[in-house]
Amino acid sequence: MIPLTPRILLVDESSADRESVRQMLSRDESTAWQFVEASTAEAGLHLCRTTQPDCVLLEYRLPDLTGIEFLNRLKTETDQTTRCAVIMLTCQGNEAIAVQAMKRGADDYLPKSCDVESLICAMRSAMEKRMLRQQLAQHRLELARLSKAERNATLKADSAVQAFRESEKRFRTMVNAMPQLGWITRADGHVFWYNKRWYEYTGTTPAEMEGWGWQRVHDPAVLPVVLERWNACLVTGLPFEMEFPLRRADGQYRTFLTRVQPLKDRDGKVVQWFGTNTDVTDLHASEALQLALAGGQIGTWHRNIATGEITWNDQCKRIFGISPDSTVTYERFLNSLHQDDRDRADRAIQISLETGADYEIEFRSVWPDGSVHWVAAKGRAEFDSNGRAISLQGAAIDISRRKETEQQIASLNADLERRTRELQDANKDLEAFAYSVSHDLRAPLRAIDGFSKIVLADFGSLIPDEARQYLIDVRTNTQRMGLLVDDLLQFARLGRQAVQPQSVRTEDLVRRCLDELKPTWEGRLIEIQIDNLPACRGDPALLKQVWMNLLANAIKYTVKRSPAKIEIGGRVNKDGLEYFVKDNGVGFDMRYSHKLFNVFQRLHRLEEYEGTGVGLAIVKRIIQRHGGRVRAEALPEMGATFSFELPIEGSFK
Amino acid sequence: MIEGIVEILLVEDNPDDIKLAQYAFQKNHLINTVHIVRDGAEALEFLFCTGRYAGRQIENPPKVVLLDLKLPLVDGIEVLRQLKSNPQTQSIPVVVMTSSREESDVVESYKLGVNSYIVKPVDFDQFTDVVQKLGYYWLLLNQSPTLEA
Repeated sequence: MIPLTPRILLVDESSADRESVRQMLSRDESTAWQFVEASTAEAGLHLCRTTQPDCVLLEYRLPDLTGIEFLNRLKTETDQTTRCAVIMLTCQGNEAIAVQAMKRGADDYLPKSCDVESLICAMRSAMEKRMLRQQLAQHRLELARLSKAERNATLKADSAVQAFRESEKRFRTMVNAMPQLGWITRADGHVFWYNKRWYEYTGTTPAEMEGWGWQRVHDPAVLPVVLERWNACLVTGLPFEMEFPLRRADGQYRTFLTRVQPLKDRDGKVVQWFGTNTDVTDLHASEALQLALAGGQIGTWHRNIATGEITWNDQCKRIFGISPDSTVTYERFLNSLHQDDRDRADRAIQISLETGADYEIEFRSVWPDGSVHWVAAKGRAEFDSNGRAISLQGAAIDISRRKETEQQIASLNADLERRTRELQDANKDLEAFAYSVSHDLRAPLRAIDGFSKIVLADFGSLIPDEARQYLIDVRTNTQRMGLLVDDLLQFARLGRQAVQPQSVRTEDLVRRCLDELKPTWEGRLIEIQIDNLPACRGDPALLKQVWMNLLANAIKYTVKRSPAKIEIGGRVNKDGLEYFVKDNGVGFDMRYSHKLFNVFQRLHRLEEYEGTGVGLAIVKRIIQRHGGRVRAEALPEMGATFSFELPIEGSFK
Repeated sequence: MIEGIVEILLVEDNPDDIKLAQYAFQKNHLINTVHIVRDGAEALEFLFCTGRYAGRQIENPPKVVLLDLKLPLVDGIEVLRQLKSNPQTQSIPVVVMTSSREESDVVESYKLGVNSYIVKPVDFDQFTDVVQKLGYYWLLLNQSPTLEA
């Protein structure tokens, strides 16, 4: 588009030529041309600046400058973007000038001889070019403006991103530095980042933990509850808080307080979750410790060595019988002790401060009311890097009741020892008595028997038969009493004789006993059956006594049977070894079986069966001392079975 | 009795046992060679020829000593110990005769070198048997070694 009234600047020294151009263009009725004219280059340049022509028709040959120089000046002195269109119109035509002019910014080059249509066409074209140039410039300007704004915007965005990155870096550094475990999840709970502490604590790798991998460090017993609550928070968007155990790299579980905060966008939609796990195990332990201290009525105290300041908790003050609001000094502490314990306590504390060894003392605290209380105290000194004692701290507990109990126990023990000694003395007396019986009771019996025998042997013919029979009875009785004394002594000896256990081949032992007893059944018919007799552990001499007594009984009480039958056997059962001696003898009534194993208890008349009534008591005592037990089963006239059990390993008394 | 040759020294304080022993010796024709002392102290004087027996010759010891353990003044175990620890008397055979079955007595006696140990039975027949066997064994069969002064 060209302006409706284009302003044309004619720069030509020749006024005739200027007139000729004006005349030529005025013939064009479609355009209301306006003209300004200059005869020199300088005037032309001036008018360019002041009148802002749309198009300049420039003669090459000017009085002051050439057309080229004009173009140069125009180029440097005016705004290129708004500069007018320039057509070089000259008679001085040659191609070199035309090229030069075009290079210097001329829009076209025409000879003055050109026709009007060519001129107008060239002018229009130049002006259109100028218009386009102006528009282009404007567009460029706009573009430049726009691109600047855009660049600014981008710059801003960049710095925001940068700031965000910085912030996130700082955040992660901070989260990595904090002692808690920390992590970030997506809105759906998928964990995409853990801090270093997490990996250090759990000993896991990012690959293992990504997403929902954290479940593997949870206690399987607690995990379902954790998942339930966490999933609920993911749905509601509410913060999560819970305590649960997490497994440490070494496999140990520690308790963590876990908090998860949602990060929301402007619309309140959860974007991420930020979680922390704080180890509260020690906190709990410390709470537990406080509880324990309170529950155990344990006084605690702390002494600053440099300042001498001493802090006691209330319980500690209670232990020493002083009011909770009173202040404590080391001297006051020492003075509150029983005077006999002061030096000892002070020394223990000083040694601990010098050597660093813990101290543990018991002392008496004398309360202001004069009452005496036993206290046990433990203390430990803390030292700085130079080995200087900084503080001393510890705990104290009232042990008065324990002391009281200890004294009671000591007194009971003394009592027990005294009674044991008395019993031992009594036992010695009994031993002495038994020894004395052994000597003194047997001597007169021997005399009675001896003199009766002498009377019978040397004076038998002088006394009546009846008297002689009585003397024989005297001898029978003295001999029986001798046996009784012997048995009784043996029974008494069992009480103090030590059981010396060794492995015993029972079958050999039984056969030896039967050999020794053989003379007692001379002339009788006895069928003896020996079954399995397992070996055992026991005192061979004492066990021999058991078998001798049981076998002798079986032989004795079958005296009226022919054939007499004696069965001997044994077996291993779950409690130990069991042996028995079974006979087909006279038996006894089970109603009296409880008397059977007692001393001097006899179930048969003496004239029927000889005996002192001590044999089974000896059996019972020996078996009991081997940790076993005895049993008897019988029916009158149907035989008897005596059995005894021995523990396999033996628990000898 | 001191004048004759003593073959048997009976150390016994119980008068009944003495009587019974004498009866048994008599029955076995040993009575003339038996000297009886009533306590441990007298036994030691006899054996070592001191005190009441200072006139005795230690070179003529009894062929056998029958020694009760329970004795007044010095007990039988002590007599045995002194007898067996002295070179001049240690070869005299000693038979301990006691009513005690106490194991400690038996063990102690054998430790001290007793030649035989018998428990006096209540049954007098057995006692007579014992004396008879003793007589044969120690007086007739068993020659005591000659003493070197």
